[in-house]
Amino acid sequence: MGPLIPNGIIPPEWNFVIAILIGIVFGFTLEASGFSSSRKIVGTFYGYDFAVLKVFFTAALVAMIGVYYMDYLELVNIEELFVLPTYTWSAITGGVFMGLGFVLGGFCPGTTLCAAAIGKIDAMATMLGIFIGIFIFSELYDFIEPLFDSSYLGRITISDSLGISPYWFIFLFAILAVITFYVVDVIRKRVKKVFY
Amino acid sequence: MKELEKTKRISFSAVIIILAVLIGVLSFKKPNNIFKKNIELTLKPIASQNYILYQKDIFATTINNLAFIDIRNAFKYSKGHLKNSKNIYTANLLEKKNKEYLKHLETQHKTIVLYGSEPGEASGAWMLLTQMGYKNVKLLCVKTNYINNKFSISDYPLEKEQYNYAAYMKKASSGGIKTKKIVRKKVIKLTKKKKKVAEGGC
Amino acid sequence: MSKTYKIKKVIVKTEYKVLAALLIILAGGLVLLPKYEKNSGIKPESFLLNIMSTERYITTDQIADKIIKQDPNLLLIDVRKKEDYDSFSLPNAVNIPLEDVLSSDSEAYLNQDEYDVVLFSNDNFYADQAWQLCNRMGYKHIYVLKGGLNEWFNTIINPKEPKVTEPELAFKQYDFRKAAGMYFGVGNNKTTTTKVKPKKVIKLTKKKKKVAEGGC
Repeated sequence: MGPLIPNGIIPPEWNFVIAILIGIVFGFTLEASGFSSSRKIVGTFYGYDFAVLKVFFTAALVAMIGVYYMDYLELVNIEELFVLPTYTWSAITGGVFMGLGFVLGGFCPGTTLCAAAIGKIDAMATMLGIFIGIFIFSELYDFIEPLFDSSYLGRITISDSLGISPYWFIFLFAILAVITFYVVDVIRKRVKKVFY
Repeated sequence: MKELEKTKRISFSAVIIILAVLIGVLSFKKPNNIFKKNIELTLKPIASQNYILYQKDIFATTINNLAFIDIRNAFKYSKGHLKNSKNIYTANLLEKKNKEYLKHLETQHKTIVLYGSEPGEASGAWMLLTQMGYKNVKLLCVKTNYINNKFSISDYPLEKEQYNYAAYMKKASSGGIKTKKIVRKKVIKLTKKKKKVAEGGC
Repeated sequence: MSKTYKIKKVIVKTEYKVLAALLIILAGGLVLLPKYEKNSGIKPESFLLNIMSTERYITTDQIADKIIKQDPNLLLIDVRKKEDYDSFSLPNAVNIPLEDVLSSDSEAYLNQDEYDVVLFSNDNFYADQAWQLCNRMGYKHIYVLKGGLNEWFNTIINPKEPKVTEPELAFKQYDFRKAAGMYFGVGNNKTTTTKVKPKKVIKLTKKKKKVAEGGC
């Protein structure tokens, strides 16, 4: 049956409407989880708050299980879903830069907007920084391009590259996630409480 | 204390997830008919053309191994058909009893031979069965005739060119093929007068 | 107060454990569920309906009309072998032999929304099969030239003269066919010396799946 829009069940004109609705819900969830506080986000890095890790791990797990159940029940055709193409080295470089910015600013791109919306000055500064970064990237694009396009691996998933069945991967991932949650909780209890 | 108020949300979401999965699993019906994923299955016989049986092949092989299926409709079938053939109209191919019959033939290692009033009529049925994973399906390349209350089959020139196209075009373009102009009687056209209709709208 | 607080705290603690257990059970369920073979392409039921319908056929007259009017949406595809295609084909036709219909190169021609693709062969048997393969894959806007090139020669290049008793419409059709035949080079002395028109090359980009990108 699904995905709904490419299969013509929902006309493509609705794309943006649905995107806006999902965006609003996403923003609401970010704010409700307290992600518009930079202290909470960098807490993962310094080891006093692991909410970010827990939220995103849980989100990935629930989505993974949900999508594969829907695929099994023929509600969604998993082969028609978009998989982000992998460029190994540009992904690693980009990841390092993003991580740096993460710790420096205390926001990821999505939460910046969230925090700016509730009037945090540092978030607005980070937003400005994002635009400056985009500008620099575009100006240097000719120079960066070889790295940007190098080591293209195609649209692969982790279970493809490991060569195991996605179902087993999800199962292992679920166990790993639960263990991580437990370990992270233990760490949090040992670290001195930080109030923010 | 505040954190404790979230307990309700957690149990709600847990219950909803369980319900969603349960409803999904219970309402799920396995599809009856499926197309096999392996597209090679169809392309290989098409490339090698070995799925086409000719009239002479019928007599060459032992006829016991062939199971003829007449895919024309019941009316045409009742007028005349091949000996030992069973009538399954293309539209009814996916019916349960017909599928069971085909499966039964497959377990007996019989070759299923489809035929229609011409090969083109049966090619759709052949494609459907092959792509659904039936292995021994062949197509009989014949034309069925019904002359003087007698049913007979004759060879069908499958995809045979009736002209040597290139040569014919050369000849035609150099004026080698004359076409005469015909004079027609003039026809006087009369148009009926239309009654005026009062138009209106709301 | 403190007692209820403690109870609530226990509930919270076990609740997270329940959630964790639920996720693991669901993930384990995926591993344990019996696997079955999935359908690929359109459903056999709808395929059956499509092959029973004659909507896919387009007549030689319609095609001639479209070629003469230079319909920009028309894309003719010759599914015969390469040699046959090289010796003669319809103007501006592209060659995709039947075996290659599902190759990735031909997908650009067949799986698209811009053109009305018309498949043809000597008769319409091979073209029909190509159509069936495409239909199963869910490609749209694909048609079959009824009767194929044989019918093309019988009607457009060498039309049969109608009998005097036949209705007006038959004569009109005959006139059209004669004129169309001339367009395609019958009795046209001048065209004998002209060189063969280079085949129009239609560049098509592969239909990309709509991409939705995102991140947090």
